[in-house]
Amino acid sequence: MTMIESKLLDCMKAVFPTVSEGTLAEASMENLAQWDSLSTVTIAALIEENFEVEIEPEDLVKLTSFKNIASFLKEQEGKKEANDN
Amino acid sequence: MRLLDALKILQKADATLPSLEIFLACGFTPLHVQTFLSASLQERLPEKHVEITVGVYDDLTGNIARMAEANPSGGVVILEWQDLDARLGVRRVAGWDWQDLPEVAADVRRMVLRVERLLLAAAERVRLIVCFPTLPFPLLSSQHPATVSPFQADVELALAEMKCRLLQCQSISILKQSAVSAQTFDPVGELSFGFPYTLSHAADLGKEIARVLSMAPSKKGLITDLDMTVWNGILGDDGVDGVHWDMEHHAQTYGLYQQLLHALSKEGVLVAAASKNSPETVQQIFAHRPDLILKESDIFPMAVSWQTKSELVGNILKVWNVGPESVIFIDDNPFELEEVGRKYPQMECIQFDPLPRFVMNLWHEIRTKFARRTISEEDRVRSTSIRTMTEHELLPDNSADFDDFLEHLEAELKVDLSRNSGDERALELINKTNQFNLNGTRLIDAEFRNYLAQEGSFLLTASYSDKFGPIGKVSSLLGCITGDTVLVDFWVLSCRAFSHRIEFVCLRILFEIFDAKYIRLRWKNTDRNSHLQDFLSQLPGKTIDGLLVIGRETFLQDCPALPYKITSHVAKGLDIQA
Repeated sequence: MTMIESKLLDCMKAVFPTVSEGTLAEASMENLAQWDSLSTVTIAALIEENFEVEIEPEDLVKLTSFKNIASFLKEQEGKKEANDN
Repeated sequence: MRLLDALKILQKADATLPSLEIFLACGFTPLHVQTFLSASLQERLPEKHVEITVGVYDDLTGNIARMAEANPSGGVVILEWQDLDARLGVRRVAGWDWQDLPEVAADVRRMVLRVERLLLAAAERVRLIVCFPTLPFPLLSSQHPATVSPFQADVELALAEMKCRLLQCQSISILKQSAVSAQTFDPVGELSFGFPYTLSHAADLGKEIARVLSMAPSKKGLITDLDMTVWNGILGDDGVDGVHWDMEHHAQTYGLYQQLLHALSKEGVLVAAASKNSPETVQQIFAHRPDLILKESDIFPMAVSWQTKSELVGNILKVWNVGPESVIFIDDNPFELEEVGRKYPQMECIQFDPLPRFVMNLWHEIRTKFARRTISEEDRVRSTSIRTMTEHELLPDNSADFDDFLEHLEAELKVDLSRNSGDERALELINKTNQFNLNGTRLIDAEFRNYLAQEGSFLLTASYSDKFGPIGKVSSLLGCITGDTVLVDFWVLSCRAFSHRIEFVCLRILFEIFDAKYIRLRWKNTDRNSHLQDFLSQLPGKTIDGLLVIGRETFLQDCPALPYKITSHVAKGLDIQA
């Protein structure tokens, strides 16, 4: 598990405290019943708070699974590195 | 607090603890405000399990009505501009312009009255904290954003008038806007999911509301040093005319400190001086410096001698009959603070510093520690009654003499039985009294109200006065009547009323008014209720299932003489069977 995924898992655990880590790593809005639109908003706020990224309204629709969010964060990190260089 | 920390706090909360149910009524999606409020409260009240109920989106008035019906332990209402009129928000647009503003203002006034009526109705059942709009005022008028438009002034006036009317109600507190953060509006959140606040604002708001909801009982007394604290200078060295507290002598902050102490004393806070000085010199300054803002009558006792500071403080605590945890000690000398702090580790010791910033911070801190919503009759007479009691404290040793003594006191006890959950003094007594406290359990306002909402419950309060003057409400008792038995769950008696046999009067009144055969006391020994333990040991009772059961006949047989003029008043609606 990458550093991003591990940190993301910590955030996801805070939103879904009763779900195991294994299930969370594979979780999506489709396969996890507790994951509703308000959970997505909370996940988005946690990501902004912990990864120092700004999530635009159009990005919210991408945050539909653990894997999608991890990819989104990697993409953001890549952009940040490119800007720094 | 960060959102992640808030969520983690909520995860760890123990659901088996007694619950504290709070209803959060707002017109927007409560989202992170709910999380932060819940976590901040949970952190402040670890002995409770905080549960927050919310209403439905975009229906503030409906949510206030729902809150009243839900009868929670406490209610929080957050108003925003768009709740007063949709045109003050950003979620609805329909082509209005400057010509519509008078109509918007008129609609706001109508809505304000509607919200006010609902809040007042809800406050009859629930203690409320109301938070007025914290978002920036919407820029609907043509004026420059840095200036106030007549439209804004009109809307704000409607809200200000509403605040004044709401504050007439004892059950409503209004959160001060300056207590919350500056960056408040998050347009993305508002337009995407109906949550208008930035995360940091939600965190601040949740924290401030939690702070008000879980306020600790206020302190009782303040002990202050004199030299270099109440005035600039050393009285013994500089003389009566050589010490100062004014602008002219660059000593205004000492004057401000005196002003604060004077105001506190008038509000019923016990203020004493502990000073290593010659008593004659201190007497002289109070006699010859009429410009002193802090008057001699504001201070009792004036402990002035060459004893150690902790000895002086000890003498003051004895006269006040209060514990060190209820007192703040202020002195400029770190050595004295250390010495007092070692002797009384529960006492908060603050080093005085005349720097303006320090004094203003001190003012804020003292106002927080001694906060009280209203000044009661008991507050107004507290200092005088302690002074009088001390001066007349010549209690005789044997019982016959004591009966005679009580008779000559011309003591009167006014006993009230009601279900008045708005009796702030009764609740304050329960939360501040230690030495005569049935079981040491503290109650928050909501628990007090919920207790009195139970069938058969009642509140007994006793107010004392004698020829030396009134002391005010001295005892508070919460109980329930079932058949021929009175169950007492909470009972406290102020230390100022010890040795007056008021505890016996309270029990006798319960037997008589309720025509009860038994009284069951839910007692528990605590580290501090030794006076209660002494009293219970004198009663002819038996402990059954952890409750002390007292029978009417045996109690009346052993009850000492109670030479009191007793008047009792039973409120309408109280279900008295006899």
